Amino acid sequence: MNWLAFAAVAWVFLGLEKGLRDALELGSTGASPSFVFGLLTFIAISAQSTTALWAAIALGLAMDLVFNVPLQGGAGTVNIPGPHALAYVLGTQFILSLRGVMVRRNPLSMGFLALVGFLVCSATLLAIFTTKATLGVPIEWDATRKLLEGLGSSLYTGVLATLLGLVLIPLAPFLGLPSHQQRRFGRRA
Amino acid sequence: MIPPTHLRRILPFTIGLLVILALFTPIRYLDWVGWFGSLSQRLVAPISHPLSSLARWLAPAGKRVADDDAVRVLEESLEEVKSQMLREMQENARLQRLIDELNVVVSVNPKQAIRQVYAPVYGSASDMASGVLSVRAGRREGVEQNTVATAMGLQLLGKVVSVTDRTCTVVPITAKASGQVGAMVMLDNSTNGLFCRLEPTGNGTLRGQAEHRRNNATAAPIEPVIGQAVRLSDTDRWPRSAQMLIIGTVEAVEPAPGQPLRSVITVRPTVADLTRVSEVLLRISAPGEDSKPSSAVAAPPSRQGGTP
Repeated sequence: MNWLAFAAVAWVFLGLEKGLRDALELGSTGASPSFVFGLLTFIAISAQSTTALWAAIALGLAMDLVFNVPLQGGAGTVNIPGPHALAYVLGTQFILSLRGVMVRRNPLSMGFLALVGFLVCSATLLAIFTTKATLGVPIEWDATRKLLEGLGSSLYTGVLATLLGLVLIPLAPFLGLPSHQQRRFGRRA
Repeated sequence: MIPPTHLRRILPFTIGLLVILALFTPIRYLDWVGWFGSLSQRLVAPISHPLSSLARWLAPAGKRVADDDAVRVLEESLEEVKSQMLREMQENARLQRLIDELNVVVSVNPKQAIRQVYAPVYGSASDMASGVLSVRAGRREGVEQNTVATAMGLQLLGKVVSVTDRTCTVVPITAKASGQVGAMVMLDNSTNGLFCRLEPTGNGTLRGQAEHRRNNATAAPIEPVIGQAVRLSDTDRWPRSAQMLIIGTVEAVEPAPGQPLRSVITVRPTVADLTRVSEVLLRISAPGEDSKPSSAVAAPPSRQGGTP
């Protein structure tokens, strides 16, 4: 994978995530799609497993830095490195285990893998933050609400990833990833 | 370039390090991450800000009453005057009590300068708690922790909970992370309203039990009524300059569970969705001013621009 191109695309997707998260929220449900996980799903489908896991760590750490965790009672915010990175690694690992049985060039496959991958990711985040809250870290955390939000966000991310697939699959050569569409028209080796 | 075999070998160690950082590192040792966080937020701002502005322009926060520009200006002026008057009245009552209690003469500076800074919202600050806003104004503009943010008119939006040189994070009063807020249901133009402690419900409203009080003359209970204004009255947690700003209007009144004589009120802000505002007005007090017992005089707002 071309890491420089990846950084450029990741920058754009982080901006999309930060700028449109509130606007795309479904009413007051807290369910909103993840652009960054859509990108990660595409990389997990297309890249080598080690590359995909490193991309998951990079994108997860970026998410941990770009988004804050509010403390209880409006006492401030904190950046905790790790929760998103770990959640993305597990989500990616799950996608890697499933990608062999999927039609990779189909945007619907990307949508489905994003949905299930983000479910794993949400469950991991839920576990990490619930553990931290149980250990007495004063973060603002409502596990039941986050569980429901996670389910809604997973469905939403799945739908978004299907649409992103239409954009990202043609971008594969730019990212230095194998283009799955080439074989349809190219000469087979 | 690191060879792929090395990348594969160091992956488990990296994941182990992340587990330690994510789960077992106390947050007091994570202050250094804030600098990287601030840098990352500045890097993504050129993408997120135009998108956020566009989205907020397409789906604005909206005001619940339809009005044109002239009416809006008049309403804002009226609210400004009302808030100042009520603040003055509350302050006068407090000072009167103080004088009575201490029996000393208190000299009061009646002019508290408040600088108002318009600042654009450039994105969501957290994906763990919805509604927390990233705002493009920071220490350079005089913003500090606990600076009060308002939306259209004098609608109380929230409080700054963290600040960097160029940006700050505002938690709206309707976000779960903001916690309880003390308020007063305004029965008339005096500060003799019903106290209540409101808690965000998570759906854009606040809910809480209103004070139970009876009319001295008739002994009839004084009940809150739908449509009455609710204003901030929480000197413990909010700066003095924020007192009597509008929280919203009473949307529903129902008997408290298990206490049918008491009322639970639901309050909705005058701005339909506080998390969708595209611009906030930060009310910056002069250093130490908010600790002084004085009334507020608002200076003309300045507009914040430039790249964060």
